[in-house]
Amino acid sequence: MAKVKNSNHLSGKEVRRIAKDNKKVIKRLEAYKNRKADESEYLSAMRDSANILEIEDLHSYFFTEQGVVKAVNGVSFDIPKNATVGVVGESGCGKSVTSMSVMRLLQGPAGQIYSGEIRFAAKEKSGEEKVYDIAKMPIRDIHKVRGSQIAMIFQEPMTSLNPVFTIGQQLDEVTFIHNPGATKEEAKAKSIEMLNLVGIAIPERVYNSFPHELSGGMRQRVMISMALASDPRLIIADEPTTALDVTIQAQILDLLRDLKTKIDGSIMLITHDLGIIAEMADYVVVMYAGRVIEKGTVQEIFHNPLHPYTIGLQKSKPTLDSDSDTLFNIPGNVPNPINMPNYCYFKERCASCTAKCAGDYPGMIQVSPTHFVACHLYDEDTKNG
Amino acid sequence: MEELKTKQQNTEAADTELPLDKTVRLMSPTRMVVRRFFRSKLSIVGLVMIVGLFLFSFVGPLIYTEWGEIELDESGKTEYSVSTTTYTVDGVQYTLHQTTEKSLKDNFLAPPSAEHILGTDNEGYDIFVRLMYGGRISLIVSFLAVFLITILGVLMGGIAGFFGGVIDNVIMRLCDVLICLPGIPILLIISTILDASNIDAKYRIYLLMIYLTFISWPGTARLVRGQILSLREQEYMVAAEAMGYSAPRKIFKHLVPNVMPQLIVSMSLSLGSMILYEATLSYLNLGVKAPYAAWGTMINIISTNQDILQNHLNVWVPAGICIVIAVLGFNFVGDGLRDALDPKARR
Amino acid sequence: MFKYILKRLLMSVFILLGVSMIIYFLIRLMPVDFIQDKINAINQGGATVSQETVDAMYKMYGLGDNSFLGILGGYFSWLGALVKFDLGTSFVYGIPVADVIFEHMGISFLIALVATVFEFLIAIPLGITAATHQYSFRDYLVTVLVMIGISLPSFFFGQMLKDVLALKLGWFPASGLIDATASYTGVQLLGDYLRHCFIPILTIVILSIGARMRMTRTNMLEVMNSDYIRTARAKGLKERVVVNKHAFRNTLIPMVTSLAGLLPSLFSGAIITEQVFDLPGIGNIALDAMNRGDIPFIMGYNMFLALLSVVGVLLADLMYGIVDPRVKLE
Repeated sequence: MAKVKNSNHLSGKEVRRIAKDNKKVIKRLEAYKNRKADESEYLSAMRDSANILEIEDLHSYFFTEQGVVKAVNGVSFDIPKNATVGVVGESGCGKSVTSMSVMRLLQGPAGQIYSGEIRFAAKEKSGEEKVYDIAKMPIRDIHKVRGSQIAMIFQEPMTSLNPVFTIGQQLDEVTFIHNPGATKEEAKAKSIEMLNLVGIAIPERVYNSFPHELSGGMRQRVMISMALASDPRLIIADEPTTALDVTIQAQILDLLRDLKTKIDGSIMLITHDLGIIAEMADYVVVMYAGRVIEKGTVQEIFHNPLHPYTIGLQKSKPTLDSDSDTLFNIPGNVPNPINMPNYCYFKERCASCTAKCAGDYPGMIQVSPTHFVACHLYDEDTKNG
Repeated sequence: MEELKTKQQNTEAADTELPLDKTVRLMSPTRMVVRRFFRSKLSIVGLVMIVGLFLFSFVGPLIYTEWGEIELDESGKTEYSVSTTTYTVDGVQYTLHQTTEKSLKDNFLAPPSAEHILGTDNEGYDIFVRLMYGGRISLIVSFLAVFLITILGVLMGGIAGFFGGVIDNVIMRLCDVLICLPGIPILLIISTILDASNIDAKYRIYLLMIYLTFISWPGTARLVRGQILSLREQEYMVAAEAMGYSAPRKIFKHLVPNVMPQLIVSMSLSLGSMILYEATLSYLNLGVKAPYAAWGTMINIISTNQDILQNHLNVWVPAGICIVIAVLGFNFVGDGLRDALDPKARR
Repeated sequence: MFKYILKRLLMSVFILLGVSMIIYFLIRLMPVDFIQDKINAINQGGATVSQETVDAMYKMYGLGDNSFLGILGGYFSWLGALVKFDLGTSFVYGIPVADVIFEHMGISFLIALVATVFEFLIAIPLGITAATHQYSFRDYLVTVLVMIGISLPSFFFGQMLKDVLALKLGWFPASGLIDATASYTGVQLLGDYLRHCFIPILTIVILSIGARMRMTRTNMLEVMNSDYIRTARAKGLKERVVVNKHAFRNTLIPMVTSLAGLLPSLFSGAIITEQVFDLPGIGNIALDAMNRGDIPFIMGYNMFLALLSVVGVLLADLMYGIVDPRVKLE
């Protein structure tokens, strides 16, 4: 049996243990998610009233039969009002899961928010602000923020629209949710207005089309207009241009930038493309393997990157003025997020690794009022010694 | 093997130096399938049902040898009938009770007892033993049919997929035709032909099942063909072809792991439906005929004899329960297999 | 669209030709003296099969000439008659087979129609519940119950219901379509029909719910995992609306398609159920005809069934194009 123990596969006993543990945790979390709760239970207060969203020590896990995947493992960052925050990282680093957690769209029962706070400053119809902790909200109350206050644009415009309803039906629906008293004509007027806003030339025709009759870029515009229809305070754009070709990409990004000023809200832009970040964002959050490794203003991250990973990312960006013919790449892959070690996750791929890196996971070190980095290279004692 | 071991030892020694993703231990694919299969209690129940039926049908008759399949209980039976006649003589009413005693050779419709666990049927055969023999026929016939359907389906689907063009077209149109052929009504015709040709009662059911095989293979063929066609579309296939590798061999290498799971699932599910078909044929008196036993034949008697339907449940209900257990067992197992083998099935 | 329909129609004709060839081949396998035996048996049974009928049949099928050309000629003469909807004359009934079929089709259709309506009404909500509560106790319970339904042999379950509901409890008549002792008219007659059909319909519904429910569940699960359901949730729609509007409309596509495919088969009759309850439906008639050797009827009935399934496949295909806006029939 010793041989089995040494193999790269889980033993039957371990598998059963994982299943048992998962079942217990999922049961607790699902019950918590489906509970009925008074609003006071999830009312909270912002640390800084200039922020619209504050994520604090968020843990979102997937309980699989292979073990717990800690897709988001202690993420903290803020989104200020009227700002665009870019979240950047390789695929699989947990950036999409973070946005799904904010929307509470994680696919249960496997995907769950395990702990942490997601504070959101919602604006009531009366104009006053109310701060909800989205992570603690029961799923039945989530409509207070989802859709109405926070809207989301997805990565796959080709599959994100319901194929059996017309664009008009799907757009009107948003108006009806957030303004139940609206008449059909009002809803249509609003929908057409939204389609106009996103630069669709013949909104009347698009209004009556089915999704499959539109091109990818058109569909993404429709998705954006759908997100706008409820006048949200925060738009989460999850790789909104990845599935589109380059010229359309630029149009969509221009559109998003225009809209931010029009709707007077914030945008959380998730992407793996540093170019988009540089063009769009005010603040940047760099994620790696479920954690934030560096965050700061766009100037700080681009002109003074500190974390070896951020530096590597910058170097791997193709530029015209570079002398080299070959693109830089960071060696190795993102680690599999099951059974993460407790030292720095980037250690194996890092060129400037020190002896200290075998120790505990590095904490967040503040370098400037807005610039933070999680790397042992910038520890107080390392710098002094 | 030896080499593998040393490698593993090295792995352990060098554990601290290993890149992160190598330290992750996942479930082996086999264990994943087994685990997913047994995750559902229904698969276990189904497996128990099938194994139980197999033991009952194939081992049962070896252990319980009191009666044979076509051995009549000739211990005799005495039937009493009472007739009452009323007549009036001189204003006084008389009632005459007349009892008739009738001695019969066969001990038929005996209630369950130590001698006959489930009693005897209307002929005097032991029901418990006939259940075992009925199970044999059902299981053998359906396994044979499913086996043949699979072979024929894989062969025809494979040919259609490999060669494409005219051959593919011909085979697929043949499938269209066969799918539109009626099932039981044509079996009625074939049964008549068999009657006319004086086929031994024992082999009729096999011949009928051959027809079922003949009209059932298109499903499997379409599955295999579809899989081959989608493999051909894969880019690595195109690449392999461009590099001069023989496409058929490549396809075959990838086909087996791709089509096997679906094939196994469809096989276990069609085992259930073949058992139902066999039972229905026997019930219609087309399949296994007296004196041989089949579950369907054992139920057939109630369509003509209402007394047995109402008063002798032990004659027909056990056979029905056996059919349900067999079909349900295969359906449960098939469902469990689908969950276990389908990579798309997520929890 | 028109081109597509035309192509499909041609294909259907081709399929029917194939089916007719197989059926004709089967009839030619039957020994001629065996047919004569059967005719004699029918004559002894009280009915009279006129010599004209028999001769007409021999001529129609080209029986007797076993050379290759004879068989070929026989096939085409039969085919020629088929095209004119001439299925020959039934031995047992003494009237054209087509008339016998039409006469008994109604009752089979009525039973099948009512059963199908109930099947859909019960199975679809069950399937949706099972899918939206995947792996819950409810899901398991529904799954086990419908699996038992699928696994029940119709003759066994039908007889059981008959034994309990009709014979032991006496709530419903055990067999037949009308109460022979009473002479009902109008509404009463209809009520009597319904009372007689209740257990057969119940049998069919219970046996068929399973497959439909499983189909709904699978489709629903697939749809619930799709991106547009995520979009619908992200819009802020209540889960109830997400399931009942957005997801359901999409599962409806295969459902309506299969319904169209089912339509013709409603006329084919449920052989076993009709036999168990002794209903004068087309299935029971066919079974009886076969047992008595009414060859023209059986041949006609089989061609009728083949026609129904060909039309079913055709309808399902066309329906798919109508229901799913993505599909353009080319």
